Amino acid sequence: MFSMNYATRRLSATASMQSVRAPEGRCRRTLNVLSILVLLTSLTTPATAVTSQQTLTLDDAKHLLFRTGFGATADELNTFVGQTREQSVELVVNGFRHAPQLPMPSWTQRPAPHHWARGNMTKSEMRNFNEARDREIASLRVWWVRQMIETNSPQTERLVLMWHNHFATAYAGINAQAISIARQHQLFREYGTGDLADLLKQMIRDPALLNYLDNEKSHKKSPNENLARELMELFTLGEGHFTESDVRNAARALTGYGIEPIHNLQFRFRKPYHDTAGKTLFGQTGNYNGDDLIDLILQQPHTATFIAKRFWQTYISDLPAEAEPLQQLATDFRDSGYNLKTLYRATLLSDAFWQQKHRATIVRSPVALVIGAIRSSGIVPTHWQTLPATLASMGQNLFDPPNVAGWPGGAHWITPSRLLNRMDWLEGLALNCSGTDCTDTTDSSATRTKPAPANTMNNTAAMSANSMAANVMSIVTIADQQSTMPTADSVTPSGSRTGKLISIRLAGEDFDEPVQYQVSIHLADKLLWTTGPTAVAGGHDSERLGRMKLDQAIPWQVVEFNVAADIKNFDRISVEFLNDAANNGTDRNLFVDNVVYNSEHFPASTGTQESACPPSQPYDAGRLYCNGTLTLLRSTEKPVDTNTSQAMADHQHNTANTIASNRFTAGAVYLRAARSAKKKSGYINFGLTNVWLNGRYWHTVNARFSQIAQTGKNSKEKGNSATAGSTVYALQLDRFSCWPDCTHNWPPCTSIAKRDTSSRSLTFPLSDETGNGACQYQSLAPSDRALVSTLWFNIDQLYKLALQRVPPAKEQRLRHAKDWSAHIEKMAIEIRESQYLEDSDEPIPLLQLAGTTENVSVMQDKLIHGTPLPGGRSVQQREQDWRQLLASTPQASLQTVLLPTAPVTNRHRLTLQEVLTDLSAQLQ
Amino acid sequence: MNRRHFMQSAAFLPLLPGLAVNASMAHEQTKTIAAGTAVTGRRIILLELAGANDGLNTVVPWSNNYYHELRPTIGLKGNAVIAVNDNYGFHHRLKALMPVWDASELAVVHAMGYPKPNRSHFKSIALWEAGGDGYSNGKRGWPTHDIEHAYASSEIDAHGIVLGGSMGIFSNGQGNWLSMTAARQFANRQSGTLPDAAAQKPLTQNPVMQLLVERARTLKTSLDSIAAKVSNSRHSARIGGNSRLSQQLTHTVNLINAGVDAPVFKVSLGGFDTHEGQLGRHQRLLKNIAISLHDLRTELVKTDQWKNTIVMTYSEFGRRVTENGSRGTDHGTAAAHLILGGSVNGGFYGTEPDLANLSDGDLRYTMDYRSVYNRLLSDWLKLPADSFSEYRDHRLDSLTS
Repeated sequence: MFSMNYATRRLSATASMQSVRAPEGRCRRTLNVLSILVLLTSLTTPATAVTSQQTLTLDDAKHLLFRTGFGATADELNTFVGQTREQSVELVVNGFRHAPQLPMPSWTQRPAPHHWARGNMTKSEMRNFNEARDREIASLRVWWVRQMIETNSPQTERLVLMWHNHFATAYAGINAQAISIARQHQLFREYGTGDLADLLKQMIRDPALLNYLDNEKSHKKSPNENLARELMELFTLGEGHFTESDVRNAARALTGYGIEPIHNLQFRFRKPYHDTAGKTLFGQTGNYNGDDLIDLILQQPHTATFIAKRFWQTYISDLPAEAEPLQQLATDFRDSGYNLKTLYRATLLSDAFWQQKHRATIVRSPVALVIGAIRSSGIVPTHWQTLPATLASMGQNLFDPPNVAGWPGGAHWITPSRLLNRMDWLEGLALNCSGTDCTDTTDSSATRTKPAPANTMNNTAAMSANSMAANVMSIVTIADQQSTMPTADSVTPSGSRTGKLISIRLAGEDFDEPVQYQVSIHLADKLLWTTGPTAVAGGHDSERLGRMKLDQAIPWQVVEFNVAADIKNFDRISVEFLNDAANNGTDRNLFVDNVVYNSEHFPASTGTQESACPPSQPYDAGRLYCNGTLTLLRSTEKPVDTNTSQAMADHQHNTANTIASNRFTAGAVYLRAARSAKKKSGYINFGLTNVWLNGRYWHTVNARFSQIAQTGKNSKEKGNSATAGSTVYALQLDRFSCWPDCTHNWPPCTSIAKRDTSSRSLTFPLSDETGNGACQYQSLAPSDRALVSTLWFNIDQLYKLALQRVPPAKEQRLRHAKDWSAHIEKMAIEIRESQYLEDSDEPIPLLQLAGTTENVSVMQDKLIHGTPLPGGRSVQQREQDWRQLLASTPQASLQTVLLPTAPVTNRHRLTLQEVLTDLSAQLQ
Repeated sequence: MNRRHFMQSAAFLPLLPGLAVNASMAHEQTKTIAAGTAVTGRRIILLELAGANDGLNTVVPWSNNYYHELRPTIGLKGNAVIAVNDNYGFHHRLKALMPVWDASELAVVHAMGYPKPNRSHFKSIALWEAGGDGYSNGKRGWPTHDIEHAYASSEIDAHGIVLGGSMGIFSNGQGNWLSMTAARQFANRQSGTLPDAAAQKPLTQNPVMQLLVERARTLKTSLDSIAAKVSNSRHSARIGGNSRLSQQLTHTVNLINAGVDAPVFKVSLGGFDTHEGQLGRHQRLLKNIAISLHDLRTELVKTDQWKNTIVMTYSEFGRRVTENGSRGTDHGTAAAHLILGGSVNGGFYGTEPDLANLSDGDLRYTMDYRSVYNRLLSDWLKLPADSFSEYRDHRLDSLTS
C-alpha cells in the first residue's frame, strides 16, 4: 500500500516541478549571484587554524549549544563559555555515547512479536496485537522525549534525530513493526558517529527501511526500485547525480535483501532472489551486490557534498549552503574516508558555522523548540508524558515522518496555524500549565497575559545582578515546585513508597472541563479502596483543538496512585467515568488502556463496560463515551507467562527449577502455509510461538512437513533405482526455521544448497532410515534430537491445532491444508514405528497450549515515574548553575540565555513569558 | 493576475530561494500567477456534526417498511416526520428549515460515504477532512491545496477560518488558515511584541528572521484586518438555536457581514454520538441546527450575502440502520447530508440507499462525498485546480447555479 501512495506522491511531485519551471530558473540566477558573493567573501576569511583558537563568549557558547543540542542550560554554558572553539567541539564529540543514558523500554530488548502470525488472527486478535504495538511505539516516544530532556549529551540525541530525519522511516508505513523502529533507532546510535560506509551498509540491511521501501520481496525477476532510488536520491547522491539506468541496476544489486519474519524479524539475504548477473553502475560494470553498490556510491564525489549539505542544513543554516565552504566540508569528509566525526568536527569548526550571518537562521523544529525550552528554562510541564502528542500537533510525530523525504522543516514549521500552536504552547510553559489548565477559558488567559508586560515595562530600575538572580530564581522556583510537589491527581512517591502502587494508562478528551473519573478496588460487594473523583489533567482539549484525529494522537499518560494498604484479596478493579457531557453539543470522553496493580496487569480490552453506550466491539471496553464503569476482573488462575523476555530470563537463571522436564508447550500453533498434498512436492508449515521443550526455549519454530522424492539427492547408493514418483514424508528445518536456531550445531551431513551456500537445511524423512536424513538425525545433540522427535510425534496435534486457529473469515486458507488430513493420519501412525520414537529414552511429551500474552505489552517501565530533570540537574544544582553563570558572565540574563538573538520586541527587560513568546524564540 | 499581486510575488522571490523550504512557496506563488480566475466573495460554511449524525432520522424514509422494521422504537412516523415526497421527509424538529426547503434553497444528498468505511470516530473524520477513504488517507485538509493555489494570502483576509472544532480540514495547509479561538489569544499576546505592520522596516538582514516576522506580520495583519472590519461593522447578527453552534454562527455572520473575505468557514456541533436514548437528544440537536441555519439565512439575506454562501453538513459516518437495545444507534457508514444556500437548487440529489440491501447491517453509500467537494471547489468557488475532479459526478450537475 505504501508503494502505491508513494508512487502517487512522486507523480504529483513531478507534475508540480514542471509547473514551477519558470521560477526555478529565477532561483538559479539568484543562487548564482549568491555564490559569487560567497566566493568574494571567502577570499577574505581568515584561516580556520587561527579561528579555532578563539574563545567562546556567552553568545558563541549559546550558539554552539542551540545548534548541536536543545537549548542551553546554565550548566552547559558554564562548561563552554571561555573554551576555545576547538576545545568546545572536542568536548561535544567526546560526549557522544552509543548507549542512551535512560534505558530503552524493556520491550525493545525482546525478540520481535509474532508479526508473521497476523494472517491467522481474528479481527479482534489483530486489533489487540496492533494496539499493543501502538502502545510500544508510544512508550518509545515518551522514552525518547525524556531521554532528550535529561541527557548530558543532547548532541548525541540531536545527531540521532538528524539520522532519523535523513533515513526517514515511518512506523505508520511498516505494518506496526515497532520493534524494527526501535532497532533502527539503536542502529543510528551505534553507527551515527562512525564511518558513512558502515552506516549505509547497515541501512541496506535495516528491516524497518527494507519494509518501508518495499525491498523485502524484491526478486531478480522483478526488482523493486523503491529502495534503490531513495538510497541515491535522498540518502546519498541527490537528484541529478545518477541516471535511471543506475536506479534499475542498483535495484538489481539490492535484490534478495529482505527480512525473515520467523527469524526475529531480522535481515535475511535471500540468495536465490539475488540477481548475480552483471550490472552497470555509474559507468562501471561488475557483478555487484548491495555492499558494492555502497562502495560505488561512495566513489561518487557528490555523495560527500550531499551528506555535507545535510550537516549544513542541520547545524549551520536553513539558508542554502554556500558553495565554497560546503565544498571544503565535502573534501575534508571525503579525505577522511567518509568519517562522520570528521565531518561533524569540520562543520562545527568551519567559519560558516560561527559567522554572524548564519546565527539564528534555523527555524526550530518542534523537538528543538519544546525540548530546548524545557532544558533552558528548567520548567517541565506537569503532564510531560503527553509531550509526544504536543510534538505531533506541531507537525513532528516522532518515528512517523510524513514520508521518506523526512520532515520538510524550515518555513513549514511556521505555517500560520503551527505558529499559533507553538506560541500557545510556549506561553503555557511560561505559565507553568498545559492542556486544560491553560485553556480553561479564553478570557482568563487574556487577563492573565495582559498585566505582566505593563508591570515590567514601567520598572526601569537598573538591572543589578541581584534582581537578575531573583528573576532567574523565579524560574528555578517554578521548576522546584514542579519536581517536588506531587501533582494534584497523582501521588508518585518515588523512593518512599509505603503501600502498593496502582497505575492506570488513560487519556481524556476534554470539552468545557476535564474528564472526571475514579478508580476503585473491590471484593464482592465491598469497596476496599477508591481514589474518589479525580480529574484527568493534560487531556486533549476538544473544544479548542477539536476531536482527536488519529488514535496515535491520543495524549496517553500513566497516572499512579499510592494504595496505602497492601490489598491482596480482591476480585476486581473498576474505573468510572463521572462527568460525560453529551448534551447541547459537547463531547467529553475517557479512554482507559490498562491498569497495573501490584505487578498484576489488567488490559482494558479484556474488561467489560457498563454504560449508556457500550462499545460495539467488546475489546473497545476501555473507550467510555458515556458515563459508565469499566470493570476489570481479576483472573482466577495466574496466566502462564509466555512473555518472552521474562521467559527467557527465567530460563537463563533458573532453568532447572521453573521449567518441568518432559514438557512441550507452545503459545499458539498457526498454519503458516500449505501446498496441496495432491501436488508433487506438497508441504504444510506449522508456526509455533514461544515453544518450551524440556526446559529449552524457542521464540518461534516453523516446522515444515513435506513430501519429498524418495531418492534424496544426496543418497547415491539408492540412486535411480527407487520407484519413480514414490514419495516419502519428511520434516524439514533450515537455518531460518527457528529463533533461536533449531539446533545447537549443524551436523557434517547438513544439506547445503548449491544456489546459496549460506542456506543450510536438515531433512528428517519418516521412513528412509539409511540415507542422509538418518545421518543428520544421528549427528544431532540429544536435545536437538528431542525437538525433531517431539515435532514428529505431535504431527496430528499440530495439524488439528493449526486448523482450529484459522479464523472463519479466512477459511480459504484451509483449502490446501485440508488435503493433508489423510496424510497426517497416516504419518501419525507411521511415526510410531520410526527411528525418531525408538531412540527416545523418555516418553515424548504431548503438546500443550499455553496461550498467548504477547498482545499485552506493559508500558509501565520506570521511565514514566517522577518528573525528568532537565539536563540531568536537580533543582539545587540548577540554582547553583545559574549563580555561577551570573557571577562569571555579567551579560547573562533570561533573554540572553534563552533567545538566539536580540528579542524582536523593543522592551528592555522581559518576563519569562515574554522571552518565550518573543518571535526570536522560534529560531536557533 | 493583478499587478499588485505580481509585484508582491516577484519581490518575494529573491528572499525565498534562501530557505530550503521555499521551493513550495515559490511554487505556490507561480501557480497563483498562472491561474487567478477564482471568484472571490463566495464562500463555503462547513458544519461538522461531531459524533456521527443519524442520517436516517434526519432525512427520514418514512414510507419504507424496512426502516420501521429495523427501528421499532426510534423509527419516526406520523407527526414526527414532515413528508416532502412519497418516500422521504424531514425530522419534524427541522421545521425551522422548511422555509428554506420551500424556497428551493435546501438540497439533500443521499447516502454520502466512501469505499471501505472506517467506524472509528477519529479515523473516519480524519478521512472526511483530508479527502481519504478506506484505502488511502489523504495528505492535507481537503480545501487547502486548491484554495492556496487560487488566492495569495494578501488577496484575502484568510484562506479559511475555524470557529469550532478541529483544525483538521486545514491540516498541512501552508496558507493563512486560522482558528479564531487561538487567533484571539495570539492577537492579545502579540499586540505589543509584533512589529507594527505598517511602519516597521525590516529589523534584520537575517532572511529567516525576515520570513518569520513576515509570517507573524501576515498573521497579525490578517487578524488586525479582521478585527478592524468587525469593529467597524454596523451589523450585529442574532442567531438563535441556543447552542455552541449559534455562538459560532453568530461570529461567522458577523465576520461575513463585516466584509471579512475568506473562502471557507468551519463550525461544529457535537453530541451526535447517540448510542442511547437517541430520540430526545437527537431532536434537541436538530432543532438547534434548524433554528440556527434558518437565522443564518435571514441574516445573510439582509446583507445580500446569502447568494454567495453555501452551507454543507458533514459527519464521521452515519449510524447503524438497526437500532440497538438502548434505544439508540451504533456507528454506521453512509448518511444523507444537507447543502443549502441562496444559489443552491433545492431538492434531492443522488440515489436513495437501499434498506433491503445492507452491507453488514449498514447502508451502502451511493454518493462519494468527494463528488460534492468537487462541485464546491470547481463549480461553486470556481477554483482553477480541483483536487477531486476524478470524483466528478453528473448527478450533481444542477446543484448550484
